[in-house]
Amino acid sequence: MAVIEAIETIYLEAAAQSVTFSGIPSTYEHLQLRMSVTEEYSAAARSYAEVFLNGSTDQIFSYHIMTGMTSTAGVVTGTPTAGVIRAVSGGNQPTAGYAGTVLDILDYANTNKNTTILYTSGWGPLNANGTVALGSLLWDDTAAISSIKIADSPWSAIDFQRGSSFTLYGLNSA
Amino acid sequence: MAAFTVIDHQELGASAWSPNASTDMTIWQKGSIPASYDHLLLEASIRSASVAYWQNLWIRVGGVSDSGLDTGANYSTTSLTTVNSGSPVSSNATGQTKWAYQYIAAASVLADTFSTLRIWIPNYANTANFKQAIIQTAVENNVTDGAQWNLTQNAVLWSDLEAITDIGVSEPNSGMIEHSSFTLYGITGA
Repeated sequence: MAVIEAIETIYLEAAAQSVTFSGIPSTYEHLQLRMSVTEEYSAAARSYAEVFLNGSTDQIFSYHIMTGMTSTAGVVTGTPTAGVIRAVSGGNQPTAGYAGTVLDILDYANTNKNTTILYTSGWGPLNANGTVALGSLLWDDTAAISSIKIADSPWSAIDFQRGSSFTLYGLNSA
Repeated sequence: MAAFTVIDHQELGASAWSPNASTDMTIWQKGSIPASYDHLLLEASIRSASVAYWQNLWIRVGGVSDSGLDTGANYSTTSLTTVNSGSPVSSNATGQTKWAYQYIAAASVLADTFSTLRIWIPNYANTANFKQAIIQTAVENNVTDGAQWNLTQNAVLWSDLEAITDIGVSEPNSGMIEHSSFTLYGITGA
């Protein structure tokens, strides 16, 4: 048995508002999701995505983001709210391509723990609008994670664009 | 050959780590790490027993001559963190006896909420250079008050030419609580 296994890759051949990994087995120790995403939202250099777990739409997330944008460092926070992550490049510089994000979801099947996610993301700029972020997400629920939906931000009229890709890995501990 | 190998996995029970049965709840430690991998990756899901929102994590490494963890003044850190400020702050420390500027969620944080700790140590076994590593921690909480959550990314240095054979992560105040877990991976190139 390999220590790290690719559970599923979703590659968008056409624009989509969301992607969903379902039927995630509880047999791994940790999950890791690697994403390369753009929405080409014409009015913004950067945008957000939202995480939904186990099909729930309950607004019981907390998010914290330490970020650098152009020459400004800052934080973005929210609670209780949707599962907001800064992980999508915007479209005022569409040829800059896709934002890279790596999310770690440790002990996702341990029902003694709320689900927490730590991620890094960012994209380099063609102009002054690059972004880098270290973020975390808390879902106030101890259920084992069996599905993960990544949706484009609701305040954006533009979906995830063709070529965006998402791969979910399972990490074993033995 | 597999790219990832599990070197150690431990989960803290009510009174002891499993499967190694150590009852010292203040520290997870792994020794005798072989030099056969290219890099080390530690993934931990942990929570402190201290009555606070967060505590400092102490992280040490060691080589063969240390017979365990190096407690000398050989540790340096460049830190980017939101701790205690709610906005990013950068700092630097040299000549330290441990890597100390990363954090673990403690007992005042929302129940059942554990911190994530990730440590990446590239080329840990080389004997030509000092050892660099990246440490990331998240103290999550269901608040926006900057004193009650934090995010940290540290670039750290161990000023020693020996290959790393030991690593330890401790919460020296009150220890860690049940269900805290550590997974140490060895990563091999082609």
